[in-house]
Amino acid sequence: MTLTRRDFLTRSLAGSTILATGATLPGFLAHTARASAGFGPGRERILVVVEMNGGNDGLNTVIPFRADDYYRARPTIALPRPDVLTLDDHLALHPAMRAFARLHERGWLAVCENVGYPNPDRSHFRSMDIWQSASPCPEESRTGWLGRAVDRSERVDTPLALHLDGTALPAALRTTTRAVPSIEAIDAFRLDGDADAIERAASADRADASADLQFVQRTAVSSCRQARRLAALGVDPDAAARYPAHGLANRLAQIARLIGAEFGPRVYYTSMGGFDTHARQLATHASLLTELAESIGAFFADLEARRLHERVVVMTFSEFGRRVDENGSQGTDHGAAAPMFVAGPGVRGGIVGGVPDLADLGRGDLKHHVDFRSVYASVLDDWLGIPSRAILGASFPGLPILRS
Amino acid sequence: MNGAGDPLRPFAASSATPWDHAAATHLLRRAGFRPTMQEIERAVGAGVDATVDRLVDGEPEARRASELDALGDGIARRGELDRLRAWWLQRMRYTTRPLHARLALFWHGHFATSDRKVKSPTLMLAQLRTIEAHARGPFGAMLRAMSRDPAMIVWLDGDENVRGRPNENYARELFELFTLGVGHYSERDVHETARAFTGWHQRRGTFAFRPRSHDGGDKTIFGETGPFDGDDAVRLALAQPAASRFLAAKLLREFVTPTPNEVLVTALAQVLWESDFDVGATLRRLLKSTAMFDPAHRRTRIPSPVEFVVGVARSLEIRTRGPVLARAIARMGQRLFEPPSVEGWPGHRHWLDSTTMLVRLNAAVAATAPGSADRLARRYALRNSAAARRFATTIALDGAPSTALAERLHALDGTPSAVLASALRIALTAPEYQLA
Repeated sequence: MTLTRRDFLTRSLAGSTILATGATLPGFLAHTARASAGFGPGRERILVVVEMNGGNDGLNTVIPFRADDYYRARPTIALPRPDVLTLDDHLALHPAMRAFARLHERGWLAVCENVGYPNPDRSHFRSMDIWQSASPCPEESRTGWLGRAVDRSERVDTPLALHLDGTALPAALRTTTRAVPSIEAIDAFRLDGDADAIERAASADRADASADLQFVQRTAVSSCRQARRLAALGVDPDAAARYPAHGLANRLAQIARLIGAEFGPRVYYTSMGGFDTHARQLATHASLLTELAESIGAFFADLEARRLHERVVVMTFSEFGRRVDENGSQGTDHGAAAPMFVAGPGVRGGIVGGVPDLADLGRGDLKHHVDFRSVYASVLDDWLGIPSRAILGASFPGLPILRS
Repeated sequence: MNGAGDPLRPFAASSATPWDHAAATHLLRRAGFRPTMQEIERAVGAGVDATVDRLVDGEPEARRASELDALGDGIARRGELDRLRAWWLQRMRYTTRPLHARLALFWHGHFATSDRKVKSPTLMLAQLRTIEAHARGPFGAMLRAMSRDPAMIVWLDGDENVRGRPNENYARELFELFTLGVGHYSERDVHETARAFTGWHQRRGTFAFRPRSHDGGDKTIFGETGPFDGDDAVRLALAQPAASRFLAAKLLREFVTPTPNEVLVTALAQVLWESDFDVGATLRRLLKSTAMFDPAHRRTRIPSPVEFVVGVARSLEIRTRGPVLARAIARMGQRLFEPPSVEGWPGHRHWLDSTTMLVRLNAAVAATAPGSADRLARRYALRNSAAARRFATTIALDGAPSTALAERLHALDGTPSAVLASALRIALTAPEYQLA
C-alpha cells in the first residue's frame, strides 16, 4: 500500500514522534499533539449545511406530479409531467436537478418532505431565526443550534464549525463561548509569513508563562500547522475541473479542500440566496436549482475522487416553502412546509414525510408533518454523534435517513 | 473604603511599579488602542494624572477624523453597511480621542443591536451617535436614550409592545443584559416593566410615544407600585444594588482584568453608586488607580479584532483603506453593527482559535512589510540596529521580550530599517503580542 500525501502529512503531525516524547514536552504542546490525534482521516464525520435563503418553492422542487391539485393551483408555473425527474410513484425532482437525480439513483439522496414547525411565521427574518436557533421562541434563544454544538464541544484549539460565505455569520452559528470563524474564501487561511519561524517562536518555553499566554502559544502552534497542511495540499487542477462555474460550487470546492487538508471543522456552513421568487419565477427558479444540484453533485464527485465522500453529508434548508397557489405575477408568495435534502453516501436514500397534501392546507400553505428539529436530531445523533437533546432542548424523534 | 487595602487608591509610582514606558503603554492600550511611540513618550513625560485626564476629557478631534465623521450620514443613507463599518473603523484609526472610541465600541457590545434585524444603516448610525453622545455621561441618561432609540425599538420588538399584549423582549434585556444580570429580577418584574414600556414605539425611524397603546395602570416593579413608565423602570433598575455591581464588573473586564475579584468589583460599584452612575468620573478614578497598574493585571486581556487591527494600524502609523481593515476584522470573527446576539461579543479567549489566530498572524505580517518599517525608521531617526531593536521592543513588547524572542532579536543585523522590519515582524507574530 502506498501512502498518499495526505496520509503522510497526517501521520507526521499526529504520529508517534511528538506523542512519544509527551513526558518531556511543555504541557501546552503535548496538549496540541493529542488534540490533533483526535481528528485523523476517516475518524470524524462532517456535516455541510447549505442555506437556501429567501424561501425555496418546495412544491416546484420536489413535485407531486400525480396531483391534479398541483396543476390547478399553478396554471402558469407548474412543471409539466413529462419533464420532471421521477423519484417514486408520486414525487419527482425539478427538471433542472439532474445531478440530484443521479444522487438519488445511487441511494445518496434522502428527501424529507413536509418539513416545518407549528404556527409558521411568514416573515423571512423571524422564520429564519426559528430554523437557525431551533427554538420555538427565538427571542429566548440567543444561540444557534450549531452554535450550541460548538459551545458544548471540548475542542480547544481548532474550531468545530466554520462559516464559508460572503455573508454575515448566520444565526445558526451563534455561540456564547466561542467565536466561529467566518471567511469569504479559503485564502484567508494561507499564512503569509514563515510558518516554521512563527511556530518555533510560539512554542519556545517561556519561564512563568501565564495561562493566557500558554493558551495563545498553543493556538498559534495549531494555526501554523493548519496553514502548512493546507499549503502542502496545494491546488489540484483536476479537482477544480470537477466544478461548474457557480458561486455555490466555488464555495463547496473550497470546503472540499479544507476537508481534504484535515482542517478540523466538523460542521461547514454556506448559503445561496435568491429563492424569494415572487414574480416570473420559472426561469429564475430553474437556474437556482441548477446551481444547487450541480454544485452539490460536483462536490460529491470531488470528495469521491479524494476518497472522503463517505465522511460527508450535506443538508439543505430554507426558511419556509411558498404558497400553493401561484400569485398574479407568475410567482409565489411566502408559505410554510417544504422539503429538505440530506445527501451523501451516509444517508439512507429515499423519501420520508409523505406526499404533500394539497387538499389539507393551513391559510393556503402546506401543513408540516415533520418538525425540522427531527431532521436536525437525526443529523446530530445519527451522523455527528452529538446528543441532540442537549442541543435542541427536547427529544425530537429521529428519522430513518442516515446509516448510523 | 480607603487606606492601603483600597484597590482604587491613586497609583503611586515605586521602584516595583515605576511610571515608565511599559506602564504608559499599558494605560494607553487599555484606555484606547496600541499607541505610537510619540504617544508613549508624551504620556511618560506628562504623568498618570494628566494622561488620564486627557484621555477621559478628550482633545480637539483630528481634522481627518472630523472630516470622516461628516461622511457617515451619506453612507448610511445609501444603505452601504460595509462602507459604514469601514467608515467607523477609520474614525477609530485617526481619532485623537481613543478612549471615547473604545467606549463607543464597549457600549455597542453592551447594547448589542444588529442590522441583521434592524435592516437600516441609517438607524444603526443614529444609535451609534446616541451611544457616542452618552458614552461618558450618567448611565441613567444613556439608558433612557437607548429606550427611545429607534434601532433598539426595532431590535427588541418595541413596536409590538402594546397595552393588553405586552412584549417582554426589551424589558427582559433591560434587566438581564443592560443593568442587572440574571437572578436579580423576577418574571413579574419583567412583565410589569414591559407594561411600563407599552406605546414606546418608533415611526419611520423616529421615537414615537403612542398614548393609546400605553398601559397607564399601576405596575409593581421591584416591590414598588405606581403608574410607572419606561423612565421609571430605568430608575428602579438602577436603584437595585445589583446594578452598580453589574456595570462595575463589566467596566473592569473591559479596562482592567478579564477576571476582576470581589474586592475590586465592590470598590468600583461603590464609586458608580456614589457618582450616580457617572461613567466618566468612574473611569477617571479607575484609570488612575493602583489596580489599573497592578503588574498582575497587565497583558491579561485578549483584545477584540477591532482593537487588534486598529491598534496595529495606529501604533505603526499605517494608512490602510477602511474596507481592508473591515475584511480582516470580519475574518477574525467580528462585524461591527452585526454583533452575534443580544449578548454582544463573548470576548477574551473566545476570540482566538487556530483559524482566527491565523488571520491575526497574517495581519501582523502585512503590517510589518518593509515599507512601514522604512517610514518609522526615518520618522523616528533610528540610526543603528540597537535603536531599531529598542524601538520595536518598546512599542510592541513592553520593552521586555521573553528569552526566546530576545535571542532572535539580538541576532538581527543590517540597516536600521531592515532590522526594524524584522524585529517588528518577530514581535507582532509572537504570542505575547496577542495579550494587551
